[in-house]
Amino acid sequence: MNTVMKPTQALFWYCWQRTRYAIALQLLAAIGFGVLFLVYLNPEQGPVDARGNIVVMITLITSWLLSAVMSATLVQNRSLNVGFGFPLKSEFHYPISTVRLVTIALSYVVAVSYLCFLLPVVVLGFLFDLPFPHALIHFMVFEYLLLVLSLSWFSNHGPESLVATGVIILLFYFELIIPEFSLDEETGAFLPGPWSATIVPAIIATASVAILILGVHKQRSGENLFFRSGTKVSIAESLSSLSLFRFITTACPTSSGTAAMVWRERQSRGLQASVGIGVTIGILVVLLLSFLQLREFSEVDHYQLDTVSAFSFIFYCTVFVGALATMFGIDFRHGEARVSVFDRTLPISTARTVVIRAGMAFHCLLVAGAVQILTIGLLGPLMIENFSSVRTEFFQALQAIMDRGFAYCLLRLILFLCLIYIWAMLWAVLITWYSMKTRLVAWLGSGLMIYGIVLVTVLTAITEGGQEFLSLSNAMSEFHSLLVVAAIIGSLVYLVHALLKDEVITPLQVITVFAIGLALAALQVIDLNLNSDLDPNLPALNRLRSQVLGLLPLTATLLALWTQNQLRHR
Amino acid sequence: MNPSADISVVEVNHLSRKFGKTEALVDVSLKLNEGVVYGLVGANGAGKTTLIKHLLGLLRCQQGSVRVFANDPIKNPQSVLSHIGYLSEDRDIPDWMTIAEFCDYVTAFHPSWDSNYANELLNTFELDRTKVIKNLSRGMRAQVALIGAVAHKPDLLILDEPSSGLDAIVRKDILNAVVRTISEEGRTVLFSSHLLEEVERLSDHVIMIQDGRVALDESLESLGGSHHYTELRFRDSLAVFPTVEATISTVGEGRSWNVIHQCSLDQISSSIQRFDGEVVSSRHATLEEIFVARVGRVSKPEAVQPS
Repeated sequence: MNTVMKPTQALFWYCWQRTRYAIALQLLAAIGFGVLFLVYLNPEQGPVDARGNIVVMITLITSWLLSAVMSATLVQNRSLNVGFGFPLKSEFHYPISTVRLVTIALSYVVAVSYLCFLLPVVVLGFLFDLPFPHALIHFMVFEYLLLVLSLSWFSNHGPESLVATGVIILLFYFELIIPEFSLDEETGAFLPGPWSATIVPAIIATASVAILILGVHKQRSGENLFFRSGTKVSIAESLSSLSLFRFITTACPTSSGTAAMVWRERQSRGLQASVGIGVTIGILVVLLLSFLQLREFSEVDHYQLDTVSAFSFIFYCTVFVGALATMFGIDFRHGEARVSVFDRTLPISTARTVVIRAGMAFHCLLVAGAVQILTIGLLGPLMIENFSSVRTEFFQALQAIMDRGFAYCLLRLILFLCLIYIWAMLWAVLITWYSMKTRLVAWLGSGLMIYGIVLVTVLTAITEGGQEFLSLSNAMSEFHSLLVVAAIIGSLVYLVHALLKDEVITPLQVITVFAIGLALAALQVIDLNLNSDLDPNLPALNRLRSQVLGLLPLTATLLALWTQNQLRHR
Repeated sequence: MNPSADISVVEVNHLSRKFGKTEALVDVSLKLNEGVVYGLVGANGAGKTTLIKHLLGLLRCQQGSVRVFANDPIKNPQSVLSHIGYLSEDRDIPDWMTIAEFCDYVTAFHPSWDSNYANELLNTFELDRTKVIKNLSRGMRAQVALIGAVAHKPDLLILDEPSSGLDAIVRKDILNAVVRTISEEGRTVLFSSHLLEEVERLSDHVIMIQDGRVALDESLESLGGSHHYTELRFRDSLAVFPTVEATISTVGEGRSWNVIHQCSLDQISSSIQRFDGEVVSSRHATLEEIFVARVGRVSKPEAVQPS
């Protein structure tokens, strides 16, 4: 900063400095995914309007999911908004009015988020000759941003935010937030309703901004907007006062460090949290499906199991983020990710810490998933028409698996758990390193995205599309999967060396972990052969490649140990 | 206190550490012996916290080695940390727990936890066990963190700026708890502080870090005996102070100068006679004067030869 800036400029400068890498990564990710999606799904097929809508959806989902996933926040960067509550809290003591402070933060995040939507849409539209989205879609993007930001910023008081979320869901359910629109069944064209239908949503969005300003004004003096300051409502404490829920709160065991750490992890990822998450997400899925039916979209009159599963899976991704973002013990203070020195100096081995934390996170994922399915199963018949057909389809699919015998079911179950485990560990590692080394990971991620875009562009340029393009892109895919295989083997060697050097695990433990890892890899090979997924005519190299992927659980485990060790000893 | 000079609790050999291009520690070697109270002093950014972090295994050695209770804190953190009580500068403790839960939590990791002592400290500090830590004041939070560090009677107590940002009452409470820990035979204490009076009051030994290097590693007793604050007067006015051996810093102008020197009074007296100077008064230098002389911005002696 060479010149003296005005307060407004200084705050915008601060926001930009803290978010620029995340924005770059987000833009590239949205464009990258869009390009890959459109190219690999045969750009010649399907009506232009439908593809245009897909691009809009991809951009929106990528932009917002990536923000949420990567930053564990609803907006652009963890530094700008850590959890709920207004992001620029540390500026409260500056001589600047609340209205201006809110306006700066809101306008910055809205502008940047909109840019992360608009730019990919324009670029993808230019590359693939797609129509520019209708103005109503832009209106909806703005409205959505205002509502979400106001909801997450107006209060840092848990129950108050919960009530506000409930109100927003109700407004959404009664169609007061989304303006009227429909999709043409044949062309997939976006058909907006009259602009007069935007009046109510616009009023609600404006009102939400007013509530945000009032809420921040209260936050500035340490108060809440609705609830009396200082009132703390602990759901766990309230429930535990009923004898039925006594199991929820227990005293910290003093018998051993392991027991104490398990107790501590249970507070954030234990049974009550998992059940709560599962129920909440299950309700949200049912509400959304019910809402779409209410809107009378023709394609959702009768839901298929696939549709319900897809919605459930998208929502379940948030559990992944929630349960795994802090799995390695990172937290955020003053906008910076850190690992508490207290945790790092507890006399407990790194390996044991990882086992406890990964175990609790894994348990949380499974319980939340099971509860989510159960909730949908229970609430679905009450709120979704023809839900019985979905349920029948589900039980038929289950029966089809069961009919293949106990050994097969057991094998599928183990491999399914392995899959969740691999994803969980890799996500936890990615989120952790993104939080700790944002700039580095953003650069690496951007580099990969640029590489992907350049590769697809070159392939498109040197081929004439059609079969030639597909065969060349298949060859490239195989080459890259071989690189992944090489990376797996190389990383195994490096990780074992690093972990043994720091004595994180003993040679005997390495042998045990390898034995389990190889057993799982063997199960993977058996499964591939049983299901004929592994074509006997495949070249030996491809066969080997498929089998090496079975080492992923082992790699994920060692990577988790290495990450925790790196966080503990810098 | 009865230092067992032969038993080393901590051994640091040729430790160096860089953060980017900044050298935080340069070839640091030192030993901490059992039963001794060490005061770690140095200017901000001198490398005190970096050194402490190496002892705790929070940072790995880029060069050199660190052994705590004969163990490498990176390779064997569990064994090393079970003997250490640590109070970090920012009192970094899980703030969602109640005080009682925090005590239980720490107890689980330290079987040697003395509940009576913990309760006694809780009562002394008038802390309500049911209170959630995040709702405590800074001073109360420091008191809770201190209980977590001392109540398991650690063999090595490490305190990083224990008094920083605290009022006089809390500071006194904390120092009393430290004194009590010290009074128990065989316990070693390493504490860094900017409050040199505290260091002087509690320490047996002072380690001064300057620009990542150990500038001083001496017992407080010998430090006081070897460093003097002397007032000098010269016959003629001097623009700059002349080169006098063992002089660490000088303040003054014209004919009157005050010097901190690390030699006997006779030595300084005979040295300045060459410049027609004489000793007006002399006393042992305080730790603060030695600290300022070594790391402060007061003028160092310049090369002026006798006429």
